[in-house]
Amino acid sequence: MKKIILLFVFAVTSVAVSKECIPAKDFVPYPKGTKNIGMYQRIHPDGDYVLHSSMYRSSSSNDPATAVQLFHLTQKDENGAARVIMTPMNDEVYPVMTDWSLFASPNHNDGMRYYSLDKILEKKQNSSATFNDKSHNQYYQSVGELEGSTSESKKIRVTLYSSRRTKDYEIEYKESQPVSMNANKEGRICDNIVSQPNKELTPEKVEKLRQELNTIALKTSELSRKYSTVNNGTERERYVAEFTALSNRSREINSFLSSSLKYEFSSPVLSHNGAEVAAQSNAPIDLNSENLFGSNYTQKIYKINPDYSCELIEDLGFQTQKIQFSPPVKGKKGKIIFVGGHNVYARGYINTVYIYDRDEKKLQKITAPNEYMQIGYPGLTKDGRAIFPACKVIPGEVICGAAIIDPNQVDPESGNVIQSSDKCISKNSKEKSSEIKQKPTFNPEGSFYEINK
Amino acid sequence: MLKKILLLFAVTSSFAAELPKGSTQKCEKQILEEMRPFKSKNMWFRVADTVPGHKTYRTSTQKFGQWIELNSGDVANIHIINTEGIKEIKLNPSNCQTKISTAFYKDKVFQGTGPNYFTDEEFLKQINSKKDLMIYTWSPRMVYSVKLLNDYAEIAKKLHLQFVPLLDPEVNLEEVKQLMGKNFQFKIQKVASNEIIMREMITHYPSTLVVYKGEIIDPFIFGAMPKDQLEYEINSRLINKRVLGK
Repeated sequence: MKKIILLFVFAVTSVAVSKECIPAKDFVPYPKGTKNIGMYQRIHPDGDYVLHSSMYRSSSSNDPATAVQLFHLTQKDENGAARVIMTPMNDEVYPVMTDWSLFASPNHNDGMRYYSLDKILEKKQNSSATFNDKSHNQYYQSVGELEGSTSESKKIRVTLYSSRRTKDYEIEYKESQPVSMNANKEGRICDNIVSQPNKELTPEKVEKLRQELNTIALKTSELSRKYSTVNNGTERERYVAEFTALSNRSREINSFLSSSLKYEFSSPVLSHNGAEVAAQSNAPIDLNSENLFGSNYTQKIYKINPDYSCELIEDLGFQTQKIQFSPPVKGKKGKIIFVGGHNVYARGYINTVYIYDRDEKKLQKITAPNEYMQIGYPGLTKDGRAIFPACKVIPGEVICGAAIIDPNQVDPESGNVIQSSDKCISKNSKEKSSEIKQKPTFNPEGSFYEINK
Repeated sequence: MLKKILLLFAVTSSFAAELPKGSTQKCEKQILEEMRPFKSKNMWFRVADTVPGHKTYRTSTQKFGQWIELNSGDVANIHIINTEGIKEIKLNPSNCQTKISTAFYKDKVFQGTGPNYFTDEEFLKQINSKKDLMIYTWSPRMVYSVKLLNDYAEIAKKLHLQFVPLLDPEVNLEEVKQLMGKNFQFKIQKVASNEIIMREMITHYPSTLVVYKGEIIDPFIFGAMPKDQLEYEINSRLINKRVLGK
């Protein structure tokens, strides 16, 4: 009997708690006068911060410069706007996505710099970098935290854009402070995907091009002979022009014949645990060809093997802007979020924010047509919220800030709020999510997610 | 006479609409019929689905600047898109007969005339003149698209391509002038070309498209990259044209 009463009390409490939903769509304004939100942002996994990179004109330089700022969504100023924290970081900064303990800031004079969040919060623009790596530095870097981190050592993977160059580092911690950073592995990921035999090189075409090379060789030797026998300037010029054209053609054919086909692999982004990489690629796959201009130039997700080779595990079938992975969930593939193309239902070219559930294989919209004017890069938090910077029109003015959306309370087709949704993220869940940010170590088993279940 | 009929047949059949490979379409016959006057090039590719659960495809048409978007699945509607606006043709999927056709909506489409806009008309003029172009879409709001303007222009020059930088249509000219200063060396033209927009070249900046002897070479190059890699990407697009004449 006692058990039944307890069960009843529990059930009633659960219903009461579940009604405490976070707002379906919330908006934290940025300080008044923010008119341009830039386009590159990263979202903190607890939803506390948004990292922005934008351009401004410095009075001390003739060239536009980059400003990297943190917008604190949960600590607001006297006007209710997100607090802004200036940083000394550069270009498009990428945090260790699991906990934002470190930021990879590229293209400094001493290479890629690594700043710690603690220092940035304490010293703001005057923070100094904790580490730097001159030899592994480039734009479009992404950072994941590998399995096997402990409170004394963190294992991170940093992938650069060019040639998918990747380094795995081990960061040693003493008294919760990072004290050393050493690379223990280096190479290029997904070489097996990007470089594949050139299918254009059929035996017939190769034979034809080789014959052409033979003809060119004969013609050029004939031209050399003629050139040496004439003194007339105009005639000599004609021979030189002809010779140059033949040489160019010969170079082109040779380079074509010696090429293996290099497929594109644009905008690689690592998953939070560094075990997967998403990229726009036209590398062939054995799927029903829903082709883009004759190739499969689509957003794809690859598993990264220990030897850095890759295996295709998912193809969205279309292009997107750069995607972001959700924090990992035990036993699940998780979700991805991205800004999709221009929505004709909006009666115009309006960007739409999409979430794709990789387990359910379902796509959902979370923004309605014409809801926002500008939309920045979106991200997903551990409790499932979607956050992205945006601007919107309110009577009389345009305000910019961070849109915070509970996808459970949004109609997946229209992007509008469902009035009587039976699912939502509870306020309780959000608090719990914030609680766990105190834990310094990422657990690849996904224990933090269990708290929010 | 027979020759004329055959010629007419050849011309009309070359414009016959086809559905995207592998798609399933409600009211297939009627949808194909509705598409026919718009002369699809049938070069379908998928975009993020407009209606989740359906697959959304796009193709260009024989009319420069006019595109068709199709929702495949248990709905039967198409959109005809150009810079005048968007026209929707919708069939009732239960009988495939009742048709609702809208006029071209005029709002929310990036339009513009004058020297500060790169329209389909201007794009077509460049295509018809058989110029070799490197079209580069950029935004002062996207860091690398600004920082790499000069590098990309340099590569265009090296590869004998005319560099055509095109500005994010959502940005006003004042914002550009403020950021880039008075000595900005490039012509400021906003994207007002549906051929650029439908390729999704204004979803991410920078994006780069090569035009060779008046032919657009798809797909465009997504994002920023170092100069040597950009050169390689462009050359790999041109090599088939130059070596095999494809």
